[in-house]
Amino acid sequence: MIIQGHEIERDHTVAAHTVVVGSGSGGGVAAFHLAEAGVDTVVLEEGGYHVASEFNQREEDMFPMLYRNGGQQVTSDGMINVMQGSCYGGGTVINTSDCVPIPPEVLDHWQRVSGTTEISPGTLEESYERVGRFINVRRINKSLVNRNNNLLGDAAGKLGWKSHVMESNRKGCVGSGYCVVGCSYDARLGTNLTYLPWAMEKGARVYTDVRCDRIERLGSGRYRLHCTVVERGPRIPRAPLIVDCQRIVLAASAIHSPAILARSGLQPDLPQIGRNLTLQPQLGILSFFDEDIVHWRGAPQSVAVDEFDESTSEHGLSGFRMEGWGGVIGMPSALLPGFGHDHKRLTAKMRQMSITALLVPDQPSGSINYQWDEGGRVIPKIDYVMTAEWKQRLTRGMKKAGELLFSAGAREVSFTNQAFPLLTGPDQLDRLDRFPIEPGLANFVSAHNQGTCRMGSSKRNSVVDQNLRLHSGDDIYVMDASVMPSSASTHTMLPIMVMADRAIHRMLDA
Amino acid sequence: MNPECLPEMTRRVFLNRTLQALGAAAVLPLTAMQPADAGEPGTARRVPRLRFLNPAEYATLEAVADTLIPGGGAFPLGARDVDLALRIDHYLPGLDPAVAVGFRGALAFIEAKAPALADETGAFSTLDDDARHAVLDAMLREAGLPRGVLVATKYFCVLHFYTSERTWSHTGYDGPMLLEETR
Repeated sequence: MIIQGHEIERDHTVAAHTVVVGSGSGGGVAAFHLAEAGVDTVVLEEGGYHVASEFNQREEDMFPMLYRNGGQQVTSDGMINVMQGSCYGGGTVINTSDCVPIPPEVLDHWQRVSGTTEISPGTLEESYERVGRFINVRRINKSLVNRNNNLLGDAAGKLGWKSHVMESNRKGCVGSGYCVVGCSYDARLGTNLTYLPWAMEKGARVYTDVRCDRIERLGSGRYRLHCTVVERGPRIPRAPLIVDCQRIVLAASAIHSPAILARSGLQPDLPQIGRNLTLQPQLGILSFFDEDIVHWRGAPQSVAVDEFDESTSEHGLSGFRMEGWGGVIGMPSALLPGFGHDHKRLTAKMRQMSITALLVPDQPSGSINYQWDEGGRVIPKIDYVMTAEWKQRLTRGMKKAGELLFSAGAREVSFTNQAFPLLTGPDQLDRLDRFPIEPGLANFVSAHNQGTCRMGSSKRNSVVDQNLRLHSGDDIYVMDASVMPSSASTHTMLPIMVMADRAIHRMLDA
Repeated sequence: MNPECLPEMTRRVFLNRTLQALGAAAVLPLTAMQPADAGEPGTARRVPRLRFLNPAEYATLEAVADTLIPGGGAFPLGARDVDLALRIDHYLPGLDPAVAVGFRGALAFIEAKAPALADETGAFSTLDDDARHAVLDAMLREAGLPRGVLVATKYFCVLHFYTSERTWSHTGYDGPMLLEETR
């Protein structure tokens, strides 16, 4: 059963055994397995309930509908746009569907830095199998790989670099290309089409347009969640909502799960709350070719050039990779440098423009502090430092991406910097040594924020244990990207689901 | 309008580039902005029905949009041809209030404060095309709030210009597949 915010007229109290906060990758998985096991389960989702018939393939409508702050959330220095899905199904409704597991070396790294000795390829195997089967993880059909992605693979082949067609959770994809603004064809098997409906079939109740503000300990193993029903769209408070329960699963994202814990007064006992943030900043690269590219059709992110991927037990996920991206036109057009007639010269060639994402994994180097406005809405202050080592890898990655794109036949390449001119040949790539990384000039995007309630062996280095339960001893779990001790993978949906699947089965087995 | 009325910006707001972060700028007394039709008798021009902006803000947005996306050049269509300012105004009420209010603050900054960056003394919307271009150029060069305001405003203008159907034949964009299916 779905109860939408506008159906809740006044102060309301709900009771359940377990409350899941958030309906994305982690929350969806948790909700289904809890309900399947017969646990009286309530899911709270701050975003709205939307279905495929509402997804009109227009970014100007869909970003405000499906993304946190309409896609306008940024780090405190304005350098990185921190993107988050915020709707029924969370990020699984608006991501590019890519499924990339956690490299074994990253799991080794976590054991070294966080003492997560129980998290290994072997202990995750069953969860990978189950999640993969439930959301249909398959290699992307080659017919869906568009020119924007194929040119990366072709050029990588010419240069002798490794590349591959990625895996995704699609079924019946028609290649419309609008993954990042919601699939109009129900062909991406997010939690909105899988785990959440299955959970409701088993009796779970899903409340949308409900923001969880804080947790109150009632004693005797009972909790009260103080929530606010919000108006869809502007999210203005409409009415308070109280939810009483015995167990809580927070799956509200690496930005918002720690906010709930912080507002609940748990930070003094768990000082790592909100620390160890990784954002995995990505840089968009726009290139112009003589041929038509038409990046807005086909699977937008389907080929990865993984020649420079590096995963080691010492550093975890490192290196960099290039992947195609696309599907929308307004946002990339805004990233092109300049304005006026110079800008129009480039947008007139939109059909011949390719979009490449340069993914440069990072080490934890950020933290979040919180304020709340008078309406109770959290205002996260996301502080993030780009380390010197990361910047060096970024520069090397930009040069390699430029080499790849010129090899593919690009005539001009923009590294989407308002003060850095387009390059017209590989002989100009050394200019990237002077690439200005300043707020307002460089355009970085984070789609994989992680690590603010990290998993580990003790309160000293982490917030949750290896079963994702708070170190405080409360019956409160965190099952989202915040538990990753470092960047889990270049795409985090599958890792989050697998970690949640393992944790929820451990919980239920216990 | 007295540019000194603009609020002191915190370092954080200075460094932020998005509209959401520019909300503080919106505390500028909007009444200080002259209505768009408050010129000499007989020069008043018609302002369309607005949903969010006031006529003065609308006039500023029209001037900014026209400078960012002028007519002519690579293709004839410009911001005025698609009523871009009106299109943006119609989207603002549905946005996160912090973003919408921040946009209002950005317009106030451009109208009153930014011209001085290019040694212009008049309000932005009263300047000629070349002077407006020079002001936006100066904003881009000036780190901190000026650049942040420009980039955020450009984002809004470019997003809503190129997602307008009327531009698609000029850029080669096919439009949503859902539309293809109904053609």
